[in-house]
Amino acid sequence: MKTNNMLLAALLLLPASLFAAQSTIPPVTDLQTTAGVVVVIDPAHGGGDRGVNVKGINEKDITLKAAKYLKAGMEKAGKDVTVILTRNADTTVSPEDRVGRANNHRADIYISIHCDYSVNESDSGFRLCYYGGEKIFGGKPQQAVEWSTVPLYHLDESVKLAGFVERYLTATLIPESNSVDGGDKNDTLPLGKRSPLALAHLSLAGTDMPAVVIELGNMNNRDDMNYLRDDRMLSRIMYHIKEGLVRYLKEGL
Amino acid sequence: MENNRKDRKAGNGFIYSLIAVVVFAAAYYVVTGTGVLNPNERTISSAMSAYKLYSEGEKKNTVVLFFGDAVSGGYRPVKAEIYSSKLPVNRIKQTLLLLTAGPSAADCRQFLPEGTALKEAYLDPNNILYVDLSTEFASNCRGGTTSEYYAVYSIVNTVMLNFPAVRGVRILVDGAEKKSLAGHIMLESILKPDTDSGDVNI
Repeated sequence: MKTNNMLLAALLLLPASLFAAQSTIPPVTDLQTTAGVVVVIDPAHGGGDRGVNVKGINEKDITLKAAKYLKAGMEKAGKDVTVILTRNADTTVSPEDRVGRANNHRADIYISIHCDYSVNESDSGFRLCYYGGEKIFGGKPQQAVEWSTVPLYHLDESVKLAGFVERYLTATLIPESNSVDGGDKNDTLPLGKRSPLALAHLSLAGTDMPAVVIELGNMNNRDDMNYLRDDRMLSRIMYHIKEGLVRYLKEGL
Repeated sequence: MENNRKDRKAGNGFIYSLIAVVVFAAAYYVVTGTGVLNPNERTISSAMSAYKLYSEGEKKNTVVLFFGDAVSGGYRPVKAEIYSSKLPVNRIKQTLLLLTAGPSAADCRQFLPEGTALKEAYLDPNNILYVDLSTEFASNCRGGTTSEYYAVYSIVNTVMLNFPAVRGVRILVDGAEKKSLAGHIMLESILKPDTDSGDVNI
């Protein structure tokens, strides 16, 4: 009887242990395609537009650093991957020029990196945004529309892309061997998660491909601000985002 | 003798003209408040009466103002009373004045940037509401998608969920169109309420 009970307990625990094993995700590698992949990464703000400023720390500097981490990670994901930054330095670039660059290169995905500011200091965590038109039109446009609303044609894919990034930002990952943490520890980010927003975002207006804004954290929250200022932590955050993007591209292409 | 009388008449005429100009300027200032209703400088009721947004004896209506919740970070709908003015736009102006004045409860947050004041609000023939706000709405915005989002949609939700006849909201800053407050939420379109959030129903 006792043996039977132990067997039953073992059977009940088996799915749980399998789930636990699955929740640690190994790195996504070898992104190979026949046509190549173009990824455009947009470090928000820059030049005279410093973005959010909290205690002398500018959003524009964090987004540029984060974008460079992401670019390096994406370029290692496969030899057919072309990564373009909308700015490489502290320069002013208009939203139209940023998006125009992505459209001209027929990018497969467009990632705009921001740091958030919420009036509520207790508000913490990353947040995904995609271009949602319902607040403007009450639905998808039926025919030719103005330039800014083109992303509505990619709404479903943008939502899917946001979902992948969100999933990997909250997942426990096995880091790559050459990552900052040495590759032998499971990596779970301490970042919280805030609900995604569908909105008419200037950074996404005119994007003719799946596109998302990633708000890395709330600069008005002490913990988030400490993460964003810490290069090691920023590198880890971008590693999680890279994994989400590569997984999306692998499944979608 | 005749010349003295003429000089006196001319002098009186000048004084009357001067008084008329001063009275006109004062009346213009009172009626328009030079265009800005600053809740920090006047009480809401004096601002409302200066704009003749209601008449004494009118009944009161309940409206819901969309402030921020200090705990969840989302909306905190707060009930308030306005006079049932005959003109819908006057009811809307009263509501917006209450919104710009900010919440009184300590656990509520004002989503609008500091110093934001209502300059004017008017309805076009298609029932699109134009809300003209003072420059502080943009100049005091700290940036960030979330702060811009809630600043804009606290206005849009407050108007459209209280006044269903309004079909959309255009936001102007100091009388002019603006692309965005600080590079995030597009303001050049006609805005509809944010019905994605679970706490916007009234």
